[in-house]
Amino acid sequence: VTGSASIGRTGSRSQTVVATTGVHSAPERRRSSPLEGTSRLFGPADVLFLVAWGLWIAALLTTSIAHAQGSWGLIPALPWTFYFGVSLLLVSVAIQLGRERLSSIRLGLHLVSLVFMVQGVTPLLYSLEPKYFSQFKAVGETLLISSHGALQSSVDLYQRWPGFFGFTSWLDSIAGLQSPLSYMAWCQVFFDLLFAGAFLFAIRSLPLSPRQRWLSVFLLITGNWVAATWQDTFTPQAPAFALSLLIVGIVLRWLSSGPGELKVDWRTRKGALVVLLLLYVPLVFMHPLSPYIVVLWVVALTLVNRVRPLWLAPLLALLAVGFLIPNLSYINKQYGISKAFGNLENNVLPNAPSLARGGSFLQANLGPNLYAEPIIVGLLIVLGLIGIGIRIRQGKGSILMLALLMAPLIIVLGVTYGNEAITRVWLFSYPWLACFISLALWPDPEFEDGLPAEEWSVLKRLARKENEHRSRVPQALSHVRLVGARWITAAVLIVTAGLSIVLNYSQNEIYQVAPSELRAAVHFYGSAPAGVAYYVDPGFPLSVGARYPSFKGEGGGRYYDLFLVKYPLLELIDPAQVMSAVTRLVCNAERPGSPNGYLVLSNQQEKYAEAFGVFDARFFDQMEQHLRESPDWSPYYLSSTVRIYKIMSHCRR
Amino acid sequence: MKGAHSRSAHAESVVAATRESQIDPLEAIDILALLVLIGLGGMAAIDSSNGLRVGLALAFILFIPGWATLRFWKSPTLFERLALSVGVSIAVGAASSATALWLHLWRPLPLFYSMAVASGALLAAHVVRERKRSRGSNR
Repeated sequence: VTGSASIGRTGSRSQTVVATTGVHSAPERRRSSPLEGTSRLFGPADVLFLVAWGLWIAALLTTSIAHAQGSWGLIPALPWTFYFGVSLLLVSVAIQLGRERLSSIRLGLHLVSLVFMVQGVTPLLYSLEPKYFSQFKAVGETLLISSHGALQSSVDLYQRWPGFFGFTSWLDSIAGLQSPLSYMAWCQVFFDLLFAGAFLFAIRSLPLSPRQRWLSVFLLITGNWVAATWQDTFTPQAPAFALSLLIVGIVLRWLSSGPGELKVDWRTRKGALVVLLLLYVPLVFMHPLSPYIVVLWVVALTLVNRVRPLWLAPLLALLAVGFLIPNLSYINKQYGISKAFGNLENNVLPNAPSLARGGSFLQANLGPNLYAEPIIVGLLIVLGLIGIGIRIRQGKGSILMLALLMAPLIIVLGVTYGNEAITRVWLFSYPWLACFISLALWPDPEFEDGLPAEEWSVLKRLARKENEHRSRVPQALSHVRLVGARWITAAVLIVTAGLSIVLNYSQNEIYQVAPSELRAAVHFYGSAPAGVAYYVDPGFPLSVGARYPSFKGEGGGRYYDLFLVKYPLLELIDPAQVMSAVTRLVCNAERPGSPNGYLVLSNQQEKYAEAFGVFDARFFDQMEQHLRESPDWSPYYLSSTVRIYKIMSHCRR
Repeated sequence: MKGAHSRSAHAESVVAATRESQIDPLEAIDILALLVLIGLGGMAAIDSSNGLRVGLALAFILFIPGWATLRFWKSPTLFERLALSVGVSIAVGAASSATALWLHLWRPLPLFYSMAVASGALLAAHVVRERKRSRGSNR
């Protein structure tokens, strides 16, 4: 091997290499990562990794969920060994990132372990029951398809965007399962791993070193739990997010033509276009928002002169709008999107009444979350801004990542998305912010710029020779900087993961559905006569059955949730007054052809209402007392955790 | 000269034999995917319900249609191929099930069998083509 090299501090591709071996074709050059590979040595980080797992297993064996109470949820129930184990794992990640030769296998194992150690806790401790009652609507959609074998587009929006539910219903049939309840508890583990893989694929063509890429993925996983209630649970958003990242990856990898990009032949580009459309077309009918985010990303990349063919963005927009048009009147009627268009002030408002009561913009928060979320979001944004500053100072291309970071912001001009627009902006912008954060934590100026391994080794040899004649001081500084980067990275990963754990685990007590309540809900939706059902608040597995449309009001279009929908009730002080108002509501509910009406009360709803300060436990008891004594109601289902009352027929119109 | 020629021919045959004995990871995944298809098809046919069927069903629905489709596209690396296979499988599954629902042709198991046959045919065609090609190049 012969060759020459010039080693620039910035390490840009144009500066670094005059190629050496002559054996690499253009695609191969990109494929081999200079610092990635496997190392057979068993190092200290490997010991840490094993110790971390040992501590985690010991922690789970000694945890009792009986101690998971109050606004801190699962956090005080977990022993110190859990937190120490996760922290050791993250220290091990930082050590792995600082190794001279990166080991993809080890980093991959750390990534899988991190996801499992954090997201696997809930399904393991809570007997495999799914977290978050919001997921149960998706179970009902799947079961509706499985039992009827057809879509009912008048029922709700999900039936008009059936991609995900058709898929899950198909999975159930192939696997011989009765319902998604048997596997959905593990969705967070599965989807987080899917996001990690898709993101690692997406950023392969960004101007980042391999260390920065891996660090970005770890940051995505630790920071992405900020709004995890929606994005990695059993909902269409989760696979749609992964598909969106893959599409961006294809565009960056094969369809970019910016300066300095490797030439890709037309045949390969045609293949990439076909695969892109294979991913995008189902995305259009899987999730209402994600296709538009993809369009925004592709438009942004086209504007910074990166995407060819130029007609790609218009084609994608045409497909998304083409599917929207037949559904537009329905969406407008249900969600009033024409009012949201251009109404920036309203669109950035938070979603739930809890937020109006002092919660933050991203997630319905309580207790410690009120502090944890602003801290983690603020920290990530500040670090991202530092990364942007570093990139600009280095004079290296940051426009690409900035375009991807900023493009999702445009959606707040057009939609309110159930007052979740800001949450969605965070979801789709955060991955690119994570790239900038990795630049701030690990500036990594030298060498690692997508060089083949042989070129890297030649460069290293030359650099070593050159350094022999230099002062030892720069080498020492470089070493100090590497050690500093390791520890700062470990600290940031531990802080972000810690805050994410607070955000997630503190909500368990409010969102976790008890098995007995789930059984009651399955029974109710499976066997109760059709009728309009009211709930005190959303703390119940709503619509977890194929017959769920039979229990909705106003033509099947709406859930009756006294807490979220009927604000005036909250202003009533006397429980008797509340019950009288509720009775009037149920008696007058418009549901043609259905004589029945129900009111569902459960322990979980009580916890939810109390946590959000709607009713206290005493008020809840008094309400139920009036319900029991009222001549207008009779008990339909009574258990220790769930009470369902049925309105007497004389009351209904 | 003749000796050098025969040594070179011998070296070539050794290289070819070594290449044949090495397992190509892509081909290994092809064969594994075919085995999953056969196993899952059999279990679905006899309506067996157990953990193995769930595992095979997940392997099928999350990987095989995408892997089989992408097998004819040369450009991606192994990691890119694996990542895209999962995405394309989810996308193809969502597209085919939604289409069946819109056309009022919702028959999940026949849909699975047709997808399995199509994926199996693509994989088998690829394995045969690669075998022929490697035999041709060895000659």
